[in-house]
Amino acid sequence: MISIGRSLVLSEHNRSAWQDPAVNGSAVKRGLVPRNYASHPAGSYEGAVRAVDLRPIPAAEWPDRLRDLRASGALLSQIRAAGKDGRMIPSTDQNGRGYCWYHSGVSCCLLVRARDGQPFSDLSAYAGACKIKGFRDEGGWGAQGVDFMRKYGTPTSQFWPQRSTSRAHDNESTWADALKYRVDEGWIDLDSSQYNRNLAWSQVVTCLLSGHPVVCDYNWWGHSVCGMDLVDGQRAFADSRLANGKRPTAKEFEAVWDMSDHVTGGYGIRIWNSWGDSWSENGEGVLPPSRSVPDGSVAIRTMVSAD
Amino acid sequence: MKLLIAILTAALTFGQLLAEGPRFPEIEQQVDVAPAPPVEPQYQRLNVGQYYVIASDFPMLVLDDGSGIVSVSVRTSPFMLPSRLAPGWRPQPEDPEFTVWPDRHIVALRAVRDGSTRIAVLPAVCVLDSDGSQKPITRSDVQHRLLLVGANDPDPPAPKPPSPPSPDLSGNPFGEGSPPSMMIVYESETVKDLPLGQYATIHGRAFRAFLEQRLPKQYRMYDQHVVFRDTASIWAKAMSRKDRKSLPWLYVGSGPSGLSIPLPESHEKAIEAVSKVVK
Repeated sequence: MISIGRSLVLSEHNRSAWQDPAVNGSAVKRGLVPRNYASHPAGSYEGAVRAVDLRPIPAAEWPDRLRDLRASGALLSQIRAAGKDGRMIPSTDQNGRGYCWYHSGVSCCLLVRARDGQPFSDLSAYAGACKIKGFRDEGGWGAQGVDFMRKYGTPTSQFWPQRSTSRAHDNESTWADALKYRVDEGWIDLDSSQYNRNLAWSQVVTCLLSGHPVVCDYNWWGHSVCGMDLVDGQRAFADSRLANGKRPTAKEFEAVWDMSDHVTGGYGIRIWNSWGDSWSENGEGVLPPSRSVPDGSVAIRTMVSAD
Repeated sequence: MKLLIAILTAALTFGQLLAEGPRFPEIEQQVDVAPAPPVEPQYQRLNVGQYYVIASDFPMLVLDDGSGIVSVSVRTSPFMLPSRLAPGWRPQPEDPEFTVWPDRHIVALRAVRDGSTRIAVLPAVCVLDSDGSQKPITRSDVQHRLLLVGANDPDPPAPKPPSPPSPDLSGNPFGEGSPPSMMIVYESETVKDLPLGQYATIHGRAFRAFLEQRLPKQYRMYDQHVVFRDTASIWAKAMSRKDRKSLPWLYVGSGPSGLSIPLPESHEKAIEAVSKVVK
């Protein structure tokens, strides 16, 4: 088992830590359902065209940009670390319901608001997920949640307490509050019919290197999470540790991190999960290159100014 | 002209075609572009990123003039777009934020850059005469449209109104009664193209830590198109100013004094600028 810092690197060697682990003594749930293209064809989502306009950052620039962002403290994980009045923004917690696909978008909203200097607000992901699913415990996909966030927003826990499934909160004042926390623009729907996987990956990377968090759906995990940072293999190797605290050999590291992965260029993604802060390191984990390319992705660019 | 989509064939009569030909966006404003023949085609204004959608139950060919002003793509049915990206079409009544085209054949032209371009729409069907020979397409079967993207305007330029007085750049951009505040206005779409020094000022730790100490909760870094829930807020007030000559731009205000300048090239200089106003 290898970690970067204290963040889990998700691999076959530690499947029990991310497949269906118990966090704080309770079984966690995921909840990704692959996107239904019949009901949501390419072009369905707001901002679909923006993907075309998003000129990818050339791969040759990735290492330098990543190094510069890290050095200047401009990575999204670094913004999260001080995003709540100088303290770390807490992780969302889907608490055993299959609402990962909405929590991943809310995590992105929290990051965008922190990036923009907007004060922390405790957004309640259950509100939108309950509304979309008629209060049933059902899976969905990331863009489905973000589409709702763009139309109606997400209320704070003052109006819809965290993890509440009570219909009593579904009222006018809740949704008036939610409009203050509405997603305004994003690069949504990468128009997959026109792009191959490589280009989609480069757009995801470009978003992450531009300070735009990405909702990442992973079919292999059956899970949707918030993509925060690009992680380069060299740096990951330098920061990695085995379970016994020792540094892994190059061979041990390569067993979980394919540096020559031709799709990702050997880059992984730091993700922000929705299983609370107890999972991995403050709720963050690292996906190695072979697991990083999302099967569905939506980037959130701007949110409404709440004040 | 550049051939952009494949020709599909079907056995049809021209009568059918004329009765159920392609549907175009409704033109909001129609003027005579030229007073004499040849008659100029109808035109539609678009902004970059918007779509000109043509929908038909019969196959069609869409040809553009190869200028690259628009990109043409065939879409599968049902096709859906946010209504604001499809001017001239009626949104679906149950969800006005979206427009849906159920037609069998859909061609979407996306405005890529400013300019004007002409398109021609032809029926892509094979109509046979009594001998079984294909009838040639005539001029009347072809429909033309002119698409104007961005600031292009076929109308003669109107006389310029007298210039409004220059905005007052002195004083607090947020209003004198506001708490000490700072706002950076930038374009999030192109933020990746900024020099590192400016990028690090907008997103980086050092400037943010300074602001957190000096102006707790009274600083923002906003995209120039951000939507304000409270249009009377100090942030909206500063954003509505017309004095930004470039992006990113820095506003700082405290009491009666203020600053409205291009964002300095490094976070050190930005800290210096803010410190001049916020003691």
